[in-house]
This record gives sequence, C-alpha cells and structure tokens, in this order.
Amino acid sequence: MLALVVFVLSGAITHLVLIWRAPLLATDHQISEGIRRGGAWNTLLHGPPPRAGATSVPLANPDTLGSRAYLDLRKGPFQLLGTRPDGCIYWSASVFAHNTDTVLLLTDGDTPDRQVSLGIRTTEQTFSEPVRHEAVLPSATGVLLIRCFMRDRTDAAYLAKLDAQRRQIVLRPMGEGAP
Amino acid sequence: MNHPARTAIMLGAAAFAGASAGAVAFWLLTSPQFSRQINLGAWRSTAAVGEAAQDPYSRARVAMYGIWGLPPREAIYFTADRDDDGQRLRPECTYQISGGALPTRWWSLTLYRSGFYVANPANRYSWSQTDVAKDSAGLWRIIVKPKGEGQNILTSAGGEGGLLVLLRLYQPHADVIADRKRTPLPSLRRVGCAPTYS
Repeated sequence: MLALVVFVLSGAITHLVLIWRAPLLATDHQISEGIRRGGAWNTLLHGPPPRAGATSVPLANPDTLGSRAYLDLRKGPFQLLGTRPDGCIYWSASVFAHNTDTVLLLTDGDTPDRQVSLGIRTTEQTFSEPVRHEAVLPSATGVLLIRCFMRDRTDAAYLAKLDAQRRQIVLRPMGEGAP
Repeated sequence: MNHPARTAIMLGAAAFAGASAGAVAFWLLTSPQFSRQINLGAWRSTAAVGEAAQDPYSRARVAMYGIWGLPPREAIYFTADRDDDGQRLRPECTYQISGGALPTRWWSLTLYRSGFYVANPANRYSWSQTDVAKDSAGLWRIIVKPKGEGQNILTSAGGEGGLLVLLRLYQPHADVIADRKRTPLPSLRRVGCAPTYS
C-alpha cells in the first residue's frame, strides 16, 4: 500500500513539475541559444533574413525579418522607442513572459503614425516618463520579438532599406534604478 | 537482506517508477497529438497558440513545439504532415498544393523537415500571397519536390526527418477566427514518387 502511495505521489509531482517547468526551460533554452549566437541581454538584436541552419526556433517563419531582445528587468524597466519601418507587409512587437505567455502584442494597426513608444516593466516597477503602450511582465525575465514580414526576401535593395529603417527603433533603459 | 533495507528498495523503486510514469504522462499529454486540434482534411490547426493565458498543457505544448507564436486574432496556423489521402509526406515524393484566395490580410506556406527549413541553393523555404505566381483567376499551385528550383517550387531533399507544411494566415478574417472550418484550405495531392519526378 505504501509503495502504491509513493508511486502515485512521485508520478503526480514529477508530472506537475514538468508541466510547470517546461515553458520556463524552453524560454531559457532559446535565450541561451540566442546569446550563444551573438545576442545579449537587454540589447535589441536585428537578425538577418532567415537561413537554413541559422535558427534554433522550430517552425520559424522564413518571411520574417526579425529583431529580438532578451529582457532582464531586475535593474529597471525598458522602452522600445522609434519609428517603425513602412516597408513591412506586416509589423508587430510582442512581449512574452518567462513562461511564454504573450503579455502584449503591438501591431502596425496600433501605430498608424509609425511611432512606437512601448514601455516594458514588471508589476513592481513604474515608468519615469509617459509611454504610449506598456507591457507589464509577471517576471523579471521576458522576451521582446519584433516581426517585419518581407515583401520579397530576394530583393537586396528592398532588404537594405528595410534593415536601415528597423534600426531606427531602439531599446533603452528607463526609470529609477535603470542599468 | 533485512526488512528495512527491502522496504527502502521497494519504496525507491516505486518512486522511480512513479516519476517515470509522470514523465511519460507529461510527454504524452503535451505531444501535438493530444492538443485541442481541429482536423480539416490534410490540415490540422491547434486551438490555443500565443494566447495571453493558456491552460498549462497548451502552454507547455506550445513552448516545446511552437514557442512565441501569435494569438489567433493575429495569426492562425494550419499544418499538414500527410496528403489528402492520409499518407505521410515523404521527401522522395512530389506533391502539388493548390489553392486560391484566402480570407486573411496575408498568408504564407512554408516547408519544414523536423521543424526546420529545408536547405537549398536558392534559400527558398516558402511562398506567400505576395510572391506566389497565380493564374488569371487568382488560383495558385505550389510544387513540393525533392530537387529543383523555380517559381512556386519548394524542395524537400535537404536535411533529415519528416516533412511538414505550415500555412500561416495573418490577421485572418473574423469568420475564420470564429470557425476555422470556414477556411478554404488548399488541396495537398501526391503527384508521384518515381525517380522521374526528381
């Protein structure tokens, strides 16, 4: 009888821990892979057009000219600020929590004047200045993903213009105690 | 062996067996087969991707098989690893994917092997609403074949593992968000598997 109880309890605990930990571990894995490939914490990294063998994300969209930042908000909030490109078929900025939940999705439809001012903070933090949109993370770790869909990924001139435009958006620390 | 030692071994074995069973149950319940999937012929669509709040199993499943996906109001994903006849897609075979206008702002169709792009000299992994060639009626036809490049062609020979076709609808129309069965999905027909098709 005792063995059965141990069996059931052990199974249930293992199962629940895996369910809880899997999204966190998946995020940690993607962040460590991204940093291994040249990324850095709290830095907006503009990736090249996708190529086979160059991504660790399964089922990634090859038409996306992506930018991303791995967020560590322990020292303060951040702001995504600038003018979004006008040459994307679709543009969006997503903020994901450590457990992969989508905290905020900002699209080109939300920014018709192309001006982006997105504050990103934890529930305990405040912004030192007004922002147009805000993402409030339940955890200090998060991921910011910017998607720009390319009209033609083989048009070098178009891609060069798009690349220059997307670099006008910056990620900067803000608020008290910001790094 | 004395009694306490036997008991300890028995409890240890029970704990190990229980942990293994829990891990197997986790693997089974988070595998794509157990997701809230909508089956539409060759195509399947997972109900909960990228939602702000998901149930723990959906969250774990998406984290492992499609991390950082967009929510349905922004994107709906349809996958196919079998053809219209229910046969698993094979890299040595040629397939024709045929469709027309889709109820969305923009769509794309991508081929993967084991979840990743299929390497090819042209770096062509997808065709989209923007760059696929259509006929005068707006109909299009994409050919998946082991080798070869060109307009509306996707190659399947590079890499290893199973083939998967992923159709993405970005900012789909409201009626499709409400009911994915209203999506006029493309047909996915096997043309043949003989060497002449390579």
